Amino acid sequence: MKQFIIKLGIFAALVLTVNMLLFVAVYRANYSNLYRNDFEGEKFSSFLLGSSDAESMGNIMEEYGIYNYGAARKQSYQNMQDKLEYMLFNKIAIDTIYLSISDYAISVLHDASPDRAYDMRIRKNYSNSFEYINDRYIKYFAVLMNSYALAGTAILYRGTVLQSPPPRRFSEWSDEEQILAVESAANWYSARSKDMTQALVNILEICQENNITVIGLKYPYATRSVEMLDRHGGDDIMKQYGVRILDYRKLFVGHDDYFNDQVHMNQEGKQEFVKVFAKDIERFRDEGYIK
Amino acid sequence: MTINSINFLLFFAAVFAIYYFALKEKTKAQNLLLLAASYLFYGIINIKMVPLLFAATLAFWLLGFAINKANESSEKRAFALTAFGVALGVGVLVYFKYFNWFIESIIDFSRAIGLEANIHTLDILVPIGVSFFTFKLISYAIEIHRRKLTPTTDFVAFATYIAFFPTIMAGPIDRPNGFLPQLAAKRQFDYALAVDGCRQILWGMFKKMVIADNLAAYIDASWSSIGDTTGANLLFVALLYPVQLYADFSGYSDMAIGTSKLLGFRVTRNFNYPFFGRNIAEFWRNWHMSLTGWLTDYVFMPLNIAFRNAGKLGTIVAVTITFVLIGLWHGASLAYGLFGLYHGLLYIPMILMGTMGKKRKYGTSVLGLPSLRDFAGMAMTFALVAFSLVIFRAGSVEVAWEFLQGAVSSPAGFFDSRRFDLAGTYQIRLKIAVVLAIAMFIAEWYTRHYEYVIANLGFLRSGAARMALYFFLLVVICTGKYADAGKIFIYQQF
Repeated sequence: MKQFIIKLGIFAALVLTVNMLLFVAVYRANYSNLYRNDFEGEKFSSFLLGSSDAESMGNIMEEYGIYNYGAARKQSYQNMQDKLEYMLFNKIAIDTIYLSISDYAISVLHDASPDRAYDMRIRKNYSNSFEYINDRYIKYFAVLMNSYALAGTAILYRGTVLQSPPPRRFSEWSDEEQILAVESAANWYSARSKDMTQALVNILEICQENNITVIGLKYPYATRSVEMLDRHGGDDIMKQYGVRILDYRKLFVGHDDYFNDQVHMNQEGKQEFVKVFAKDIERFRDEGYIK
Repeated sequence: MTINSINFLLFFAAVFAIYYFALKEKTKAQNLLLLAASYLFYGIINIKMVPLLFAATLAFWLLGFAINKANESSEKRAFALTAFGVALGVGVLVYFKYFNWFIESIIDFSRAIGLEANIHTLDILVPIGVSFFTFKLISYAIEIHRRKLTPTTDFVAFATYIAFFPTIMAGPIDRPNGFLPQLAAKRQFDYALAVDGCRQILWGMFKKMVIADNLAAYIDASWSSIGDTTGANLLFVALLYPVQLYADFSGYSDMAIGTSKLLGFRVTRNFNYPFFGRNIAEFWRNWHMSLTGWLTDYVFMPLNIAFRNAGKLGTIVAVTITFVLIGLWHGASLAYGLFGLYHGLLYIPMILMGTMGKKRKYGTSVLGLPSLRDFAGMAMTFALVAFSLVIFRAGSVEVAWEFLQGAVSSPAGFFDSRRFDLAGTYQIRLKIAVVLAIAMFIAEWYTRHYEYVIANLGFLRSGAARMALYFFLLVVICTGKYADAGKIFIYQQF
């Protein structure tokens, strides 16, 4: 028995050491740049929540008083709900949420790969402590057992290690490349997830309860994506809750030079987009729809 | 709490520590601990089903004495009591698994002939593992009646046998003759057995979490969008499903057997490389062996003896009935019945040619690989099994028919790239799973004389090398597994 315990102990120590090293990598990639740590002195009361569309906007909207909370590569409605609840739990005063209407955020793909916001889990959302401890601590710290966090981290570091060339404008892509890219984007959304749909409903209800205005956002698409991607994420649900939707999908038709890929804008595109977006925000403010 | 979860690991660590440290060599106390742990484990899954498990266990324990007593006085009475036991066990199974199906069938039939049946289905919750523990109970009664077992006076030991937590969810279905003596014997920590158990758990986790679950992602998505995918894709899915089912169920069995070994128990084997079977009989001799062995002993053999005057026809009837029961054991549906019937019918040529029970050595060719003849037999058997598993996976004849129609769609649509190609979504996971599944089968071929692939690591002389292998496997499991939460075991639902 002694021999068995010693060998088991050595094995466990080996596993723990590797886990600890991996935790540092996962933490740096997934958690260290989260806004939650300081909330920037609470100077913002409007937040951008979304998937990669929002994330790729960077801090360009801060000039207009909107903090991009789509950062740290969280891409599901479940994650957005977590962020919203975490902010409220930390007593952040929120006036407006700009919420992505995203096929990807509501897709069943997230059922198998729950997001990585384990550090934001709140006890009240769990029916028992075991599930809470499992999500909040075991999945957070035992990264070796969290294949999703590991895979996500590997993807993030791959870009750094391999030093991939700067992205080409989508207008420079060949027809075949463009079609393949848009078809691939179509596969990001295979079916609507029950859990992610419920998370979207939860977000809208939480906002109603807390007098938070929600504005739905559909980000611009490259020309071929407008033609080939005709999906609407969860806008039917948002409409049921009276959410006003800003649909910019066709804003840059014919301007594929504003895109890095089929759906994500480059810096030039973002700057042009923000100008249009700012006008709409101003209009909403004039109407008294938002503060 | 599934056997491959963190919660189970913590639960088992606590049981293991008390079992060996606090209750060292105190057999009765160890059994009591195992019983408490088993009921706790079962209660965590569904507390409402604990009274049923306890009541059924108590009833059969008492029945065992009655049968044993009747064995001494009246054979008729002993037979009647055993029949009552079988009826009681089957009754529990029928009530929980088949009652609503019967009612629905009556309602459908009534409607078909223009009548409105005034009966309703019940809101019945199927207890986890009911198909497994009722078979254990029935075998206890039969073995006593056959005078191969004397009833145990130790209720704790008997209840532990029935509810033994590593195997209650999905087997293997241990026989009382093999398990009860182990509960009565003193159990000291056995280093070699414990290491063997750990290895088997690791190998089981690899099969379940890396191969089965990654395949499941692709297979499940394809099944949920039969109309949107190509015929070629559906055929591919049909060929992948047997691999998923095997990796899932044999992976679970390895984990259950390995866990039992850590507690000092040798549990019956459930798989012996069934896909190396060169005909359907070889396949079934090595697939879900604890169930097929159970049905062979208690259904096929008595039927075969009863029909012995009918010659080969009698054997055909006995085999067919046995296989229909194997099918229906999985659940109440026409699909499962047809699955069993199909396999029963596949036996007919072998029965007629008198080759059903014959064992033939494998011929080997270069690098110890199977001979072409053997490989052709394996491929044919695999294809026959894969076809039957379409109806098994579908769960209904209608869905299976839709799948098969899609799989043999018109040539134009067969490879139509414009139709939704799921491989795009699950490409990486699918590739990982397929490559590892092929590697698994190759490794299994070369280690087929052992219980599982990494059972014998004698070629790795250094302890550090063995530990490195375990660590490598653990990393492969952790990084390659499908989801954080993991998917449930397929056979858990039966």
